[in-house]
Amino acid sequence: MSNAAEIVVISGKGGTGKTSIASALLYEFGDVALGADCDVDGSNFPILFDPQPLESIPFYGSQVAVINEENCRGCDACAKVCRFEAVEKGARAKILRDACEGCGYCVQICPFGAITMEDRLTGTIKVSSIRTGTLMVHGDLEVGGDNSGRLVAEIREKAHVKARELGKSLIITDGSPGIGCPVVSSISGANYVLLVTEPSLSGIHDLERVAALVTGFSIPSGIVINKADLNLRNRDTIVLLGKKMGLPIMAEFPFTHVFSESLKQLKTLMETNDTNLINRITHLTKRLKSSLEVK
Amino acid sequence: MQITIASGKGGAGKTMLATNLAHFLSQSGQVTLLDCDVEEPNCALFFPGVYTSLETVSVYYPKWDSDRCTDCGVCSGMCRFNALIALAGEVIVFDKMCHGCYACSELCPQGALPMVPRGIGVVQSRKTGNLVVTEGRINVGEEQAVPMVKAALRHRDPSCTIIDGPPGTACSAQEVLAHSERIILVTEPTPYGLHDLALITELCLKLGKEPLVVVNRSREPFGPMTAFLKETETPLFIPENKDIAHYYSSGEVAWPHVPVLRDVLEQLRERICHE
Amino acid sequence: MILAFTVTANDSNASMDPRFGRAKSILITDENFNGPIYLSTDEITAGAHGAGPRMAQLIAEHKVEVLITGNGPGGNASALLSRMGTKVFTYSGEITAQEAFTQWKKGELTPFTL
Repeated sequence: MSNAAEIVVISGKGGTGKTSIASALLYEFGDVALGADCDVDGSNFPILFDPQPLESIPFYGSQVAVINEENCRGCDACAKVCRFEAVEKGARAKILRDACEGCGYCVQICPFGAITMEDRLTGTIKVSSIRTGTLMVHGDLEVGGDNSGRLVAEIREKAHVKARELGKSLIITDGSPGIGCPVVSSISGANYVLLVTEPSLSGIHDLERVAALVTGFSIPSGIVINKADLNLRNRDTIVLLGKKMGLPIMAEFPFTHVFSESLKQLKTLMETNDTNLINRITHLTKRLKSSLEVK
Repeated sequence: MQITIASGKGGAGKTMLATNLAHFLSQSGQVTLLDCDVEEPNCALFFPGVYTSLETVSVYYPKWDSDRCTDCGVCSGMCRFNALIALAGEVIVFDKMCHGCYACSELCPQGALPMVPRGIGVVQSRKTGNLVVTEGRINVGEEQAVPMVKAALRHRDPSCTIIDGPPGTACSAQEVLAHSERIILVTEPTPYGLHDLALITELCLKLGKEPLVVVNRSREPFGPMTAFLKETETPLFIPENKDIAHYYSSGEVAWPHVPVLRDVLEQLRERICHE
Repeated sequence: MILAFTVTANDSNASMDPRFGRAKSILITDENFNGPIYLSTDEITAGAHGAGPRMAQLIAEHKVEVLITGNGPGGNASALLSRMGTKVFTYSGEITAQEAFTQWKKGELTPFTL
């Protein structure tokens, strides 16, 4: 990739404040850093930064069968083998594009060679300049689009290419949610993973699953507890869990409406007048710098 | 009545509303709460008890029969998902990458790739009073949520089911929304919430269903969202309330203790039952 | 002994490509770095799914005994490589294939296990 260090912010569960933390970090690190948004199914990271598109690259993440109407004789051979109910029978067969998974069985079976596979546009990768004077690489998955894992990999690759071109030393990545393929794609090869969680039963449940994934990759990682004072018993459980898994608590944030209020004004947490929050983020930034030895 | 609680993205308050609404409605009749968020099913955390297994969900994949295989090479390179690799006289199958299209199995001249089932998760259920909580739970590491969601949907109760849907707008969310008579979208009044709400509203309308929006953690009005909601059915608002968050974090339904939430649930019942 | 390197271009002074399944090119050589040849990976990297196992298949077809790459192959590709007895080593930082070869020769590279 590039020489830039990459910090990936993830959370198993949605709504923990992952993107708010990632945005504050990107703001605080300033123009040595470049942003990357890998939460492609609900791309929120760019919203606070007023992105102005510089490049837009189509992403073809899967394939779809296409009927050549001149050759099709309506024999239904394709409809008979399709397990995804993606062929509508008739004088000319018709492919239901939403149902087609791109397996190509119909291509193999068609006696008249009337079916071909073509690449399907499933998303877009964008490079944008943002209001803090740096760039962000982000992506949109088409609604119902497949293969977000590979889209995530390509966004990160593009971010490293841009970092190298522009001499940025750091990439702040808003990672994918959940524990599936896209999150694996978000963290592989990263220099640091920040796990954002909240002290609820579901937050803990999801943290355990995602922490197991991260420690399996042996990437240096730490935990951020958001809404820490919401449930002190659960907060203590998270601290213990961190000890057990060798994950330090990098920062804690109180339950406060400042998170949502700052969003409404399209500001990062660093641009609010809540000095308590600002100090906590500055402190988190320092700890991350010393973990990474980034200047 | 089949009601789905959905949101453009996780964390908006979908599970909070689904658990509270189902429990509230169960005070006056039989209700099934069906958790279709199969990667992270959390509804049952609110209603401890013993599970009864209803169904093991399987998908089919090819299993190589070395005795029958003549190493003819027909299957090699056929799989567009690269779930099957022929290498030095062996055929290696990566079951989790298989989409179950049957091409390799049916086109093998020797019948050396028979399709066999593989469990990917369970549908299970527990009962508390009038409330049946049923969940689809996919095994860690499995990626094919759609067959899992389809299986869970078979366990709807035709009279009254509240469905906690998968977050987002991907295939499994579409599957659930397509099977719902009524869709309630939970959001929060921020630019992020609005962005995700717009995406899922578009999807609902594409499916021919007008959603009802519930704005969670509501404080002062958020202008752009107010403007968006003018175009939809009159929305409902759950005020920001630390007690709701606290009960949620402890795994308890909040409505018996929080009158403002109870009010919203009563209004929801009015809307739903008058249709 | 046959060695393979994941590289960003068809040049022994080009940077290594840390990716396995979607590596730009594969450099094949012997234990003395004689006459490197390059395998095209275009067809594999253009595919939507399962590039890792296909790349492992390509490596196996060339009877590679030692593979040197950056991030390490994923689970499915690793399973194939270990079945074929291919030893995998990973490097760190940004280096050329020539440098990676020197490090391997000195025994400085980390054996990869998943």
